[in-house]
Amino acid sequence: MRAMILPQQAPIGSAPLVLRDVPEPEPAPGEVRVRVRACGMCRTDLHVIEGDLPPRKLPLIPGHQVVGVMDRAGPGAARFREGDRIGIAWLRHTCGVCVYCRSGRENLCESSRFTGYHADGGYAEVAVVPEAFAYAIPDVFGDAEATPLLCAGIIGYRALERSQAPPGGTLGLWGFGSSAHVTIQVARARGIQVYVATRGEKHQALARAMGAV
Amino acid sequence: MDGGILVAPAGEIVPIALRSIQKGGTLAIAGIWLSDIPPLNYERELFYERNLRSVTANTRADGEALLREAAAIPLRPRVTTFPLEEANRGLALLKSDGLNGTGVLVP
Repeated sequence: MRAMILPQQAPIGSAPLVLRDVPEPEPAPGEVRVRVRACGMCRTDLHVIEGDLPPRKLPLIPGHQVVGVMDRAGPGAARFREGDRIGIAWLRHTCGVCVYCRSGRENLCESSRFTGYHADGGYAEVAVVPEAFAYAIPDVFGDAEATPLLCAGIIGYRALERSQAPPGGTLGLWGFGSSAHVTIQVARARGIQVYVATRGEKHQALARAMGAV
Repeated sequence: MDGGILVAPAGEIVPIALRSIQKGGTLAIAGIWLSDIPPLNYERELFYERNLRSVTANTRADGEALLREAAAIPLRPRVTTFPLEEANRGLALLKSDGLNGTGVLVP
């Protein structure tokens, strides 16, 4: 399969990702394999590629906002059927037994592993994921437009919850990239007035078009 | 404002954003990485029970809840697609704020 590989962390200006032909991954027990239709690019990918985050696997296929169609189930995987459209996100493993996992805070698990960081991700034609960490993608979304929901959207959603901005209240967004442009739509649907601070004129225009004050 | 979210990876914005949050309000920092935060002035930026919180990844329950709410709205992300082999160019545009919405690779 074709994949964009990161051999070593380096500034994105040096074009560190190289196109390679590599063997298609086989799904391990409990995993499913996905024919990738689209993979969103995320600022976290930049942090991984450029070395803001310490390396966990090299060479690496980045990408953790993956939408594709399941084509093979590993041994014991039965949650999805071949042909189902599923999503692969950042979180791909938690231990299930630590104090955080047992208290509904698996995002803080000491043994968590992430797609496109500890394991190969979706900058490729094929990717694998533990089925327990995959998502069914609602039919209302196209392949590409569903991708930002899988990290930018989820993080924005969690941030919105943690900001405790109430329905009908007011919210400030500093920055207006992939995550914020999803979050503003959730906030507006909740009747929240949203104020946006961002430098780029294109970002300001998109924010206004999406209902920023 | 009742609450705020810092999505830009710029720690120098933290005190500015906190000053914009009303008493008892909360600023959530959404990024996985943030440049250093300058010293905070307690009276101006934290007193009156302003809250400063980080966001670390997500639970699967967060993901399921977002997909349900997003489908019901329905939410419409703005995307720009690139061929897989143009990942370096797409990411360079992302870094320079040259993308509006989300850049998406299509193999």
